[in-house]
Amino acid sequence: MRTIKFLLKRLALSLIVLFGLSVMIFILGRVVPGDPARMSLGANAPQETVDRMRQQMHLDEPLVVQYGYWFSGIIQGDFGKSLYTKRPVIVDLTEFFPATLELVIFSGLLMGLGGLILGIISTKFNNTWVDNIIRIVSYLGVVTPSFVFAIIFLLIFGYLWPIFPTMGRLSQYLSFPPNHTGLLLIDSLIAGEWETFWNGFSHIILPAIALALGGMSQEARITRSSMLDNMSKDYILSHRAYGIPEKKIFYKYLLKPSLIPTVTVFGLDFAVLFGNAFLVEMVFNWPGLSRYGINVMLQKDLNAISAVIILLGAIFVLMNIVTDLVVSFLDPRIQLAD
Amino acid sequence: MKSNKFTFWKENVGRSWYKFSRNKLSVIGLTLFILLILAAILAPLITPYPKHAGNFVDLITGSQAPDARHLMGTDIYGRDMFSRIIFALRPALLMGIMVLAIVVPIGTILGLIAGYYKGKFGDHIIMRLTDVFLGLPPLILALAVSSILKPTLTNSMIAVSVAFWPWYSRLVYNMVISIKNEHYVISSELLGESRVHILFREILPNCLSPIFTKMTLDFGWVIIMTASLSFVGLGEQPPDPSLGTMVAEGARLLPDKWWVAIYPAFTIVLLVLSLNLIGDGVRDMFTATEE
Repeated sequence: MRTIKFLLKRLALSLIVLFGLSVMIFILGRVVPGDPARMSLGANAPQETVDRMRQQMHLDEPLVVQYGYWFSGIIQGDFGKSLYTKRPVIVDLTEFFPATLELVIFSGLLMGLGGLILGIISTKFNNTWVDNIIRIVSYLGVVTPSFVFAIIFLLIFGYLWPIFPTMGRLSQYLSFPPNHTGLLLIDSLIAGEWETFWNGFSHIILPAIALALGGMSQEARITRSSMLDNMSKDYILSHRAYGIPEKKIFYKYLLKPSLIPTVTVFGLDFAVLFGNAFLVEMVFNWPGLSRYGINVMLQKDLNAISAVIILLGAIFVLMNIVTDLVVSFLDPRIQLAD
Repeated sequence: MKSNKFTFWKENVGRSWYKFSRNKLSVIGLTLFILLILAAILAPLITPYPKHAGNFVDLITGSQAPDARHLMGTDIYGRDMFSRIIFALRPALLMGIMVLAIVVPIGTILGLIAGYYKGKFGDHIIMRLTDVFLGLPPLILALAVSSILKPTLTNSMIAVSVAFWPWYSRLVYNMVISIKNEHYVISSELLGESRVHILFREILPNCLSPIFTKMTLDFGWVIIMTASLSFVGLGEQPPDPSLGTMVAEGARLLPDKWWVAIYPAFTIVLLVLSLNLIGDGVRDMFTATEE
C-alpha cells in the first residue's frame, strides 16, 4: 500500500517535472530570433506562403495558445517536421533511438557489473596491491571525460592494434537482421545470424566501454567505501560470533545493504550515459539519437531539438523512479513516503 | 577584540592546513593546480610561440610531430600545440571561476529561502523549478541551452550555469531543513532577529563546508562540461584556443597526427585530476572539524 502511494506521488511529481520541462523547451524555442515559418520554408519562399505557414503554425496567436497547440501535438507524438532531415521528427526518433538505447543499455550493464565486481574485489583484498591498483585506476576513471576515453580507444584499438572496428554499428557487407526490437544484438540473435551478432558485438564494445568507464569507476569506489563502512558495524560482528560462514556474511549480509549507495549512483549514472553518448557517438560515428541530437543542435532545428530533449527528459525521470523503487526494496528502512 | 579575531583566524587556517596537508595527494593536487594557474596567467611569457594562440597559419610547419622545437608538435595550420594548450588553460579556468561565481550565490540563496520557508508558497515555486532543471542530465541541459545561443565563451558560461545552479539549491535546501530547528536558530528567532540575520548569519555559516567541498569538485566538472560543449562544436569557436575544440580537431586526424588530440585531452584530465585531489583534501578538512 505504501509502495503504491509512493509510486503515485513520484509519478505526480514527475509529471510536474515533465510539464515544466516542456514549458522550458517551448520558451527556449521562442527566444530564438527569426521567424520559424520563414526558417522552415527557406529564404526564397514568397511572403504569401510564409504568411499561410504562419497561420498553419499558429504563430500569430498568443503564446499560451501556441503552447497548447504545440503540447497537444507532442502528446500525440507529433513533434513537427525536422528542418535537417526534412522528415517528421517522430520518424527520425524511431530510426535513431534504438541504436542509442542499445549502446546505453550495453554500456549500463558493463558499468554496473564492472563497478560492482571491482568494488567487491577491492574490498576483499583491502589494502593490498590489488586494492591499490583498482583505487588508482578508478580515480583516474572518474576524472577522465568519456570523450577522452573514446579517443584513446580509437587510437589504441582502432589504429595501433586494430582488433575492433571503429565506425558505425555493423560492417558494410552485412545487412541488418529483420527488425523486431530495433536492438541489433537481440534482433540478430532472434534471427539466429551469428556472424551479424559477432560483428555488431565487436562494433559496440569500444564505444560502450568508453561510455561506461567513468560510471564504472565511481560505482567501484562507492561499493568499496560502503562495504568497508558496513564491515565495522556491530551486526557483522554478531554474525561472526554466531559462527555464520565468512562467505555468507560477505555476500549476503554485507553486500546487500552496501549496495544501496551504489544503486542510487547507478541510477543517476545510467541517465548520464544518455548525455555522454552525445560525445561518444560522435567519435565512433554511431548512428544514434545523440549524434542526431548534435546535428540538429548545430543546425538549430528547433522541432527536432525539443523532441530529443523531451524524450531524454522522460527517460531520466523514469530512471529516477525506478532507482527509488530498487533502493526501497534493498533497504526497507528507507521511508518511502518521506 | 580585533587582534583576538585575527589570532583565532590564524589558528583556524593553521589547523585547516594541517588537516588538508595530511593527505599528501591533496598537496600534490594543489601544487599542480597552482602551477597550471601560473602557467595560464604567464602564458605570453612562458610559451615559445604566443602568436600561435590566435589566427596564425604557417602551412610549412604544419602537422609536425613533437620534437625539441615543438614540444607537443604542431596542428595542421602549423601552430605550436604547447603554446595553444597553455593559452587554452585561460578560458578553461575562467569558465570554472565564472560559473561558480554565478551558480553558487544563486543556488545558495534560493535554497536558503526555500528551506527556511518550507511548505510555503515560495518553497514550492523554487523547489519545483529546481526539480524541472534537475529533470535532465546536466550535459544535455547545457547542450540544449547552448544550441539556441550563439557559440561563444559567454554563452557557454550561461549554458553551463543553467545546468549547475539547481544542485546547489537542492544541497542548501536539504541542509537548511535540518539546521533551522536547531536551538540557536530558534533562540535568535525568539530574540526577534531579522530574517536576513537568521538566514545569513545563523544558518548559512553552518552550510558552508559542504558547499565549499562541492565547489572544488564542481570546478573540475565545469571544465569537463565546457570542453564537452566545445568538443561537439557548441562552445567557443576557432581560432580561440579551447581544449575541447582541439580534441575534436585532433580526433579527425587520428592516428597519424595523434598529438593534436592526445595532449589537449591529457591536459583536461590533469586539470580535473588536480581539482579532485584538492576536493578530497577540502573534504578531509571539514569532516575532521565536525568530529
